[in-house]
Amino acid sequence: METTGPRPAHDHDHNPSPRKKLKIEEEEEEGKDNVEDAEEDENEKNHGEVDEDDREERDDDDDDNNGEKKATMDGLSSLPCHLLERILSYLPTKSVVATALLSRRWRYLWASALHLDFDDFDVPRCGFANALLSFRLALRHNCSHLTVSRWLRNADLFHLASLRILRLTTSSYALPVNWPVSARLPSLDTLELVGLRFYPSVAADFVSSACPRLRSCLLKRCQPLPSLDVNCPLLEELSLANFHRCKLQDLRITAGRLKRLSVTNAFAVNVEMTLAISAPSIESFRWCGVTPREYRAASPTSPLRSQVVSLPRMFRKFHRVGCPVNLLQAFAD
Amino acid sequence: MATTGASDGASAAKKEGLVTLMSGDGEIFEVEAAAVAALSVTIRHAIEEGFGDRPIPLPIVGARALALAVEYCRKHHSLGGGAGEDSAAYDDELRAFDHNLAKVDRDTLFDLIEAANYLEIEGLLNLMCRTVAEMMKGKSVEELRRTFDVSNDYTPEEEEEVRREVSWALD
Repeated sequence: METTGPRPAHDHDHNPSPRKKLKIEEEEEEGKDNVEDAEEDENEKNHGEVDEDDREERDDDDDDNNGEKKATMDGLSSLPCHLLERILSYLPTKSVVATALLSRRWRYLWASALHLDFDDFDVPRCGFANALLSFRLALRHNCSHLTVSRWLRNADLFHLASLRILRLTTSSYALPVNWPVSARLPSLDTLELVGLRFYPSVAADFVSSACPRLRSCLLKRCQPLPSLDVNCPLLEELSLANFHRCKLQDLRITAGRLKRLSVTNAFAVNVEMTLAISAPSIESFRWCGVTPREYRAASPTSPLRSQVVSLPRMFRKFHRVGCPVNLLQAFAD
Repeated sequence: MATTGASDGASAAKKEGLVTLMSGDGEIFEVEAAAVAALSVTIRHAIEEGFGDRPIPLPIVGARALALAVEYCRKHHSLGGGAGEDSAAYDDELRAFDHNLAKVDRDTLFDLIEAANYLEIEGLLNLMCRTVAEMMKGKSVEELRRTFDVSNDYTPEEEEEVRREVSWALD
């Protein structure tokens, strides 16, 4: 074998630049998604990366303006993210979080630290909520599943009672996440769960039982969730997408204020499925997947009328794959 | 720390069981294949892929870090059989060796972390990461910035915002 053989592969395997790695993950994610879903992904990506891009631009500016500062970037800060995370994993959680103050490079590193253990200090005084509020908490695949369930179970302890936005995203299904029955997020209005693998014991109504004031909910690439029962009186937006492997078989939505509903590749093919939607305020209905169909209800003034117009087509599609569907209920008052 | 540069030796003839490593800055090291292959996943794969009789180029590993990494492999291979810290073979001598190795200067420390990462020497990587963590422990943000030459590129407003965000973790 010639010298050129194994080297490139090694370079990639052993010294992946964090940025590159990130890109690859995202491409994979996109690859998994339905084409119809691309637009959504784009939005999501922009949303998630805005901060980082901004930061980088500013970094560049700084470097131009005072070149001598750049020299001091050697050493600790120059290590790739995954190594910094490794270093942080040996520190108590409090110290890990405090590194956010070091510099922009460090601001969100703590959020992806491999181990966050909230047992090692007392009740956070100022509320965990503030820390989580404005950015996506990326749970990497090495993150302990205990972390998530512990937060949720100890909602009061961690001041999650005032939490308004919770976004949990993982890029792998390695570790199962428990969503304890006792989880209560009474103030939560936005919930996004992406790529989580749940314990099979997670209840069908885990969303509504934990988050009674939810306005916006996104569940994407979660598994396994054979049945889902969303019953949130304030919910305005619900998006279900690309359920991994174990797809939905039973979906019940009861949401008096629901305006936008999007279901993308969430249902299994050739499986007996039930769908019951009670959403009298529905304005926009989007269905992709087994029966790709964009369905849009007309103006709120006469929702019933225009929805009925398009219903038969939906019905035909559903019947083709043999699904008992009670969709009419969605548009009854 | 003993230098492992084998290039000085006039042993032009390939000896059985040796493998040649070339650091990023071009230095050649002739080392026991068994020792490094046992500890370094990267070298093991390279040997498996037929690099046994040619120098293995390690472009991002500097000579000094490579020398230390090789020393680590040798020591751990001969004394501990490459076993991890929690094994019985991790005795006082190895502990002392690790302890000494961790005393390298700061720049070498970071080079060594990157080298261990590239060479995939799990034990060395853990040792060095833990060492850095130890250096960070108990330090205030200001002390950390000073110790590790981290320049604060936050604007005062940003810093205040971050401080609020993580205030629950600050003493």
